[in-house]
Amino acid sequence: MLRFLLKALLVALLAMCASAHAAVTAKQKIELRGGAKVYEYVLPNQLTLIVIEKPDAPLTSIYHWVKAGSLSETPGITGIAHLFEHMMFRPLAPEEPSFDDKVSKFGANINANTRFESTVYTTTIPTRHLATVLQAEAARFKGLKVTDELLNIEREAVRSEYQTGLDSNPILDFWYSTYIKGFPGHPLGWQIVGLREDLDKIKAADCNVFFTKHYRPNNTGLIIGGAVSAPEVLRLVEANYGNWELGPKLAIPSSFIGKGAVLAEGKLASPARSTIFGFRVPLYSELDPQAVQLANWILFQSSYSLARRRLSIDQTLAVGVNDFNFDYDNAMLKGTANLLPNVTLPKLQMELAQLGSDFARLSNEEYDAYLKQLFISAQDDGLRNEGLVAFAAQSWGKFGGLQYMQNMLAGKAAANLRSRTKAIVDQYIQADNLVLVHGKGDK
Amino acid sequence: MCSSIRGAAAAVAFLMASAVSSAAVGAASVQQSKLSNDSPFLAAVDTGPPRQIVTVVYETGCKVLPKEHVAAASLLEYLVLEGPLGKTNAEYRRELFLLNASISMSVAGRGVLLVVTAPPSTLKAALQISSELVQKPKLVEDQLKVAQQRSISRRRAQQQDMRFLTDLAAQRHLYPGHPDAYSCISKVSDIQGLGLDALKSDWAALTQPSRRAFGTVGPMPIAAVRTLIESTLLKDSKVRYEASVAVAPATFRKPTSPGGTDVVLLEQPDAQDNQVVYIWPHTLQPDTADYATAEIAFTLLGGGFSGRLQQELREKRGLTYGAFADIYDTLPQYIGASFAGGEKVARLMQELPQVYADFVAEQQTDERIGIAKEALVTGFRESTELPLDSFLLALNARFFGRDPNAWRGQVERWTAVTKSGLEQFIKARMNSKPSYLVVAGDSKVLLPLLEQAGYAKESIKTLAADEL
Repeated sequence: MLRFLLKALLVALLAMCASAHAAVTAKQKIELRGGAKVYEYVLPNQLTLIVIEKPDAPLTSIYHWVKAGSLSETPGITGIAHLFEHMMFRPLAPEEPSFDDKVSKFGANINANTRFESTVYTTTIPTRHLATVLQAEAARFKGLKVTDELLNIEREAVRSEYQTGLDSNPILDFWYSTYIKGFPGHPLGWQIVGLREDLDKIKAADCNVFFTKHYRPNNTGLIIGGAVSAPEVLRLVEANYGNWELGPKLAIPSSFIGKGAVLAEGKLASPARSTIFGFRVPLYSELDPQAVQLANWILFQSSYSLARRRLSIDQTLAVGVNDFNFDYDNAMLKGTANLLPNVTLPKLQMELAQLGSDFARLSNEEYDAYLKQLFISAQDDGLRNEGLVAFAAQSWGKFGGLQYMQNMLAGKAAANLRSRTKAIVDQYIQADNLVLVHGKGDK
Repeated sequence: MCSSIRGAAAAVAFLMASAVSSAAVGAASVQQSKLSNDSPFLAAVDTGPPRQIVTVVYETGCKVLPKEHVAAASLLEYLVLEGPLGKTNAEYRRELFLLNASISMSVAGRGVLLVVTAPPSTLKAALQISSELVQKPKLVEDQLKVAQQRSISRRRAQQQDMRFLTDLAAQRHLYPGHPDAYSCISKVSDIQGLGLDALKSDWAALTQPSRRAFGTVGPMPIAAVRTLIESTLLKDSKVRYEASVAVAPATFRKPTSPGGTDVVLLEQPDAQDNQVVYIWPHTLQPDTADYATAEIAFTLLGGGFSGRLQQELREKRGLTYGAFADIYDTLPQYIGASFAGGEKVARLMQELPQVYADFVAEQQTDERIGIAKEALVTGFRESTELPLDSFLLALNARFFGRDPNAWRGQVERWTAVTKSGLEQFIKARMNSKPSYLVVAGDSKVLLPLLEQAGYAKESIKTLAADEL
């Protein structure tokens, strides 16, 4: 009896010790302007959990940022990451309701998107349903089993997506071509949706291998924001995701090495003379996050960007000069424009090649104004709860941590930001690094 | 046009869409008052954003122009935003940039919207510049040529989007001559046909100082913004406000085909994808119980992933990547849209009537109705999170001649919809046969399919995108 009691006492003590060791504490806490608080935790299975307490949020948003995008694929089965963007909403077993059915009764707004380096799943719900919805979320991330039937349905949806998008919209066609032509022989070159000829080659078994390898806690960031309490969210996440098994350590391919100007024709004609142009850079995760964002802002994204000034304000060469897809894409700073009738493609190439020099000539006054404009834009993006969650997800997933978000929302420039931005521009905004895609038949 | 701040861009897009989808408004307080010349003044405080937005709505729009002058809208948008007389475009843009300000302008059927956005510290200077833009626009010959090129280029770019084209076709064909069907989008031939003298008189008609209504939202105290507006935009012209003449409600053109459905085929040679849009008219007033019922019905039919169209056409039949339904209020219509490429479009056209018929015939369940209500309420909360949202929606309601406060019972109206009321509505007002079918794609493919699907040749009107 005594031995039994001692043993029971020992077990209890060990359990307490284990529990004490396993207690997860916030890795960091950030207070944002406006009163929101951000907590970052790492669970024992290496799942990163970021909780944003925003007391005035009307709803709660849940982002799963899985670091498995097209860069995680292998030749022959390109496009497989994108298929998960579709399949993750399907029933986990034939007799089960789909994820959509499980959460739509709460008025959930659900979506997903695939990127080069990740696939991101978004769910927005009334906060009172968080516990139930997290159960359903955890179940799909831990337990999807892809069958032939499931795969075939989504294969058809993707085929239809090609027709609606890449086969019909010149801009999407050019975007697709920009990476295919700009990054030959590199995974960036098979684009996010993959090569069309691979779509029929992908088997359910391939999907299950991909899922087992990549959909793991150590490869995922879970970002939850709303009128929630961080300790309570942590408790729910531990309960639902705590037994998600750690996966192998994964790496994405290194950046593309190569130069050479590319002038390529899209598959579709463009009556508007639309073009997409960009300069290849390393994967953003290998660059200074704020510097790469600022470079893109000044070159293409600002309402007074250097590209807009050169093509549309100081001269009359093009209209619709804008940034193109910076938030979703990777490894390229790029823009889009519609050329006016008498403007030739060599003329456009020549003008774009001058953007680096334009940057070098920026006055301090202009540079400061760009920076201020960028910070204000970031603050605008973070006003809404869902925007703030997206910002945190992007910061963690794409830019390697929350420091980027913290600085951007606080309007704080990282040390030597201007010189680091200039270094990116000097190195990559060069004529022999320009990729330009135009409409079929355009001269 | 107004890319530097989401709020202002949203305002432009929101107000100037000719067919604005019904939306609800949040609970933030929007004050209604008058300025010293009796101009209406809507205002809300939003301490979140770093910049203040000031709106000026000229209650004029294309409806005050001769019919053949619709293209003035897009031309003037370019000409006016090139900067005032005496400044080059580059000088003007640089000045705004250094003020961290933006100015946008859109001309729509029933109004001109000017949006000025700037931090509190530079708002006064930005308002002064906007005043100069209106009073001293650069309406000169060489600028007109550039504006024509730019307008044509924009129109060509819009024509690359098939969804845009089907919406435009519906607006133009179903509501011929109504101002709300004529925003700043014009045919290329119209753009080329307007001279400078016409534009000068059009600009004067569009910017009558007696037709101005003002608004503001942002971190500044309302009284401070009022003072700034009085000392800048009203400084030179305190002409009394005259209420605008109400726009007659849009009248849906009745189909003339003996079969009851008129077909508009938008020719897109060699298109790989096709748009198939069912359209029915309605006469419901927004912010009413009937409208709330319709919103739930159309959410059930085609709202999001769980809507019937998406479930049937995509999930079960694999015919389309996307299908949805919606209800519009300004140009009142219900729509059901789906897309299909290749050989699937034939099946889509054949099977669609049955999908609609089944939806109308079956009984709705409390569970499904509950899901639709929850989806609407979630969307409502998401779209009304900020005081800015309340302001924009109040501004929108006023722009379209509705009570800016009618939104306050939105959730209650959805909650009050009953199963029997909903079923009655669906049976009485929804139909498997649309009044109009707008399709876009290659006519070589679509014409035979339309005839196979039972649409008589004489009921099909084929249009090129340039004709819209």
